[in-house]
Amino acid sequence: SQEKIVFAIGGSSQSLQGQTALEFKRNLEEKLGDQVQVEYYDSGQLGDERQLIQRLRLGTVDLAAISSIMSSVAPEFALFDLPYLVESREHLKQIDDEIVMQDLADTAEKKGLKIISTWENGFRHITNNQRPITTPSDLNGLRIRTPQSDWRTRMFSAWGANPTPMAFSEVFVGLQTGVIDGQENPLSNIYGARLHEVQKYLSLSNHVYTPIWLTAGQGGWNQYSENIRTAISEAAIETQSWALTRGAELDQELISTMRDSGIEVNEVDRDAFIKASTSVYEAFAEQVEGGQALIDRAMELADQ
Amino acid sequence: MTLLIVIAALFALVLINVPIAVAIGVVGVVGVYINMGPEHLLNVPLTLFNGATNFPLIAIPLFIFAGALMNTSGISTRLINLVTAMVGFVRGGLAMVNVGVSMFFAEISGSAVADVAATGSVLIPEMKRKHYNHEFSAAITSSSASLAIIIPPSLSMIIYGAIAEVSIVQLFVAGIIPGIIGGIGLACFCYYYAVKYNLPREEAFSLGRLGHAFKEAAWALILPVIILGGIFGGFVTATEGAGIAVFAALIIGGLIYRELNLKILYRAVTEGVIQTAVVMLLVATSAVLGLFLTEMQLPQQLAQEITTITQDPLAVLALLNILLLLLGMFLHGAAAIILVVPIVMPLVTQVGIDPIHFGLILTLNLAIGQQTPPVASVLATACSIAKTDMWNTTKVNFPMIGVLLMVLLLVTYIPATSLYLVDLFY
Amino acid sequence: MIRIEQIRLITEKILEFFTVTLLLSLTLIVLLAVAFRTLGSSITWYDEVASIGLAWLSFYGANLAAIKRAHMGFPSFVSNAHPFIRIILFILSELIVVSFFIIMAYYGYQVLDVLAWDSLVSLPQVSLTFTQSVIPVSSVLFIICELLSLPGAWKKMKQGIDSDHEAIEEAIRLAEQGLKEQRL
Ligand code: NA
Ligand code: NA
Repeated sequence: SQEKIVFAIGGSSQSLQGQTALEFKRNLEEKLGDQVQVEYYDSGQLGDERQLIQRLRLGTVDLAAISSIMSSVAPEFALFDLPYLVESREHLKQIDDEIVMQDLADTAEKKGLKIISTWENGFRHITNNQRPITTPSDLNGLRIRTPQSDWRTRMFSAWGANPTPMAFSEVFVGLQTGVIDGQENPLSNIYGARLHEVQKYLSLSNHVYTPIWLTAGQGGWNQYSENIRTAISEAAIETQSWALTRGAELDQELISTMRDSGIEVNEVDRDAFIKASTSVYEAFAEQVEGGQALIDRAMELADQ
Repeated sequence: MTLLIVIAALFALVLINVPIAVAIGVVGVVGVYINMGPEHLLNVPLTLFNGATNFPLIAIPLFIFAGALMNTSGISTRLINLVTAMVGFVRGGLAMVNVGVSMFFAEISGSAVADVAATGSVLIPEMKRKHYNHEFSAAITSSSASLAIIIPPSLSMIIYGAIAEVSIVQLFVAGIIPGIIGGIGLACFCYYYAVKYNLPREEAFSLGRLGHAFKEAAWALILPVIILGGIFGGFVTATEGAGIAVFAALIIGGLIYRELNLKILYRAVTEGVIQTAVVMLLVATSAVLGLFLTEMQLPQQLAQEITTITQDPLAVLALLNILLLLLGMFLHGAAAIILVVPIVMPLVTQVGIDPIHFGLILTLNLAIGQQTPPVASVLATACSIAKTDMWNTTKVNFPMIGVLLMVLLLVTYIPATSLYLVDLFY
Repeated sequence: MIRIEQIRLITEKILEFFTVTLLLSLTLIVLLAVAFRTLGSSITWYDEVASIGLAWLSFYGANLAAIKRAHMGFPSFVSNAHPFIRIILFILSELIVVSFFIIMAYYGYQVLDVLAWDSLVSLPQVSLTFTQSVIPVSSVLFIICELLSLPGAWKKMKQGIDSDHEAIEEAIRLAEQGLKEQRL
């Protein structure tokens, strides 16, 4: 009989996440042919990521792409909320093999979630209307919209900004009227929401790399036949390399597109930001069990 | 087919007087159970909860709270006096005052019924005393009150913005020109009617009286300035603008006018809680129905079926207008938005209609829906104050519905009517 | 009969007080958030907590609306029906409402287990079990409120009173009363 796989993401179809999800769907269907029917939903039609996690556990969604909210499931995932931990996509691949698929996947499993593969939402950058950001002191007093995330707000506070939560649907107008001065997101989100049209400066801060995890509910995962599990895993891994390549391409494309549309683009002083981030690392080491060890291992992988 | 069954089931439940919110929830739950199986019912409470945790909708209780404060602190009465001093000297002045007050008021309390009750109970008896036709008095009160939902701030727009995930501030801006056109249209009709039936003027225009009324109402006038200034000036978001309104109304009513009666206020706030909850339960249960409809892919199917017939946005808008006008006859405003938006939104985006543009069209349709019996709560309230028959009043109301329809056509087919200011600013 | 009416009144007053407090707190949170943001140190848990506050206000407010029979409906068909049919439809409609909330209460309770693993994003010490408890609790309360207001609704149904019409009369009465008190 034909098996039905319900696969959902929170992002829009045009976002990198949406493009990646479609690529995965294609790969999976190619592998399994008529054996399965993949029912795919994007744009949060089945709920935001918080709801998707809940539905994975209930077994009413089979596969979902989950990003930074994972740290509210298992605090270890906040590793990716440490500024400047991930240096490049190659480094990310190392961290993924050595830490995510080993340690983090284990902790998620204890919370009922099976991590299948790591895809990308992208490196995050800062835009604002006041001035180009090169050092943390340039952020001083700026109201920067951040998503609901304990670690992200801590990071921006540490740099002297005033991190401000706001519903994403109000961000465009908020930036325009000046309720907020700036925001931080991966380039594809910035471009997708046309935020560059209402912002003067795009500072390529690369402050955080946001992965997105293809995740299944542990219960549902165990019920699949060996054959289907393998197919899903293989399709997901093929999609990972596609996503990393596409992510890098997209970054180049979008920087030039947005520059052409008039936003001023600049690089940041990476070392100054790293220096200003020590308190975030200390907090992570203190609050997360085995945190320091995780940091050390991740940093070591950068040199390999 | 499934969509027809859903509609029939909803209709049947509502007809036997199951509360609309519960009826929507029941259809959702039964749909989930039959099509997806009992284990999927676990999604229902999650969806119900998430449906209600919609941040922009916090504006609903806040605006209602602000409206209650205004109504109980003498701000409303002062506004009426001011508008009378401004336009009362024209022939048929009271009718114009009615239009003017509604534009100022612009559905502040969140319940169109409560607003009509507030303005109507002052103006309708006054109009009767001045020998205005009773049906006309009810009709103009009712139509101008409906016009108010397209003038910012507007709760209908807040609900639409929150559900369709578009900017509420942009919707507000889009409502300004259509609102003014509608107001002028109604005022022109009043003047025509006044000349034809030789209706009286109020007292002659007096600069002194205007000055006095202006002074009295100055603080009340500052209120919209604070709210809209706060929003457009980048001090607060649209949602927080409602919070500022509460704060300002408290200060003005409590410290400056000193007319806050705590007992009345408590009652008004309780009333506000109920109005909020009534709308929000609808929002929450509609999310449950949405869960079922999405998994059945119904909105997408509908979009697909209609786009095989026509891809022309203008034709699709015509279809949507007919649907909305029909729905407006039978559904209360908020219920119509909450129910319709998730179903037609895929269609709207697929043929490339600007969601802000569609929001204005939807809101205008609902304004008209409040004037069309059998379900026409605003009209019914005005009739009840004027003690007139709803059907006879509707006959007099036709030209005014005509004005609203004209604005609807303008907004629909000349998108710049609503979008010009939006494009200018954003 | 008199006792039920007393319990109904007390329940109504408690719900009123609780929801008005929720509304005031919500207002305060929004105002504080604006103030703190302007002063340069935004409250980071603001939108998450405020959204949950709204959900609580909505569901407990819905209980208040239920006990006052104020939910949006379409009463004119039933109130114009033949008295016998009216009774049948009334009972049917009450049964549907109560069944719906029994289902909500049951599944709402079941789902709390799944949520025990999660907490708020901005305030990790607050568990979702706590925030989402509003669904089963308010569902049970809804049934209680529906039952407590049943005798009054039954009486009105027998007399064929249209509740929409009644609500309009009430709004006008309140407006006129407010007007009189202002003029005094
Ligand atoms: Na308005
Ligand atoms: Na109607």
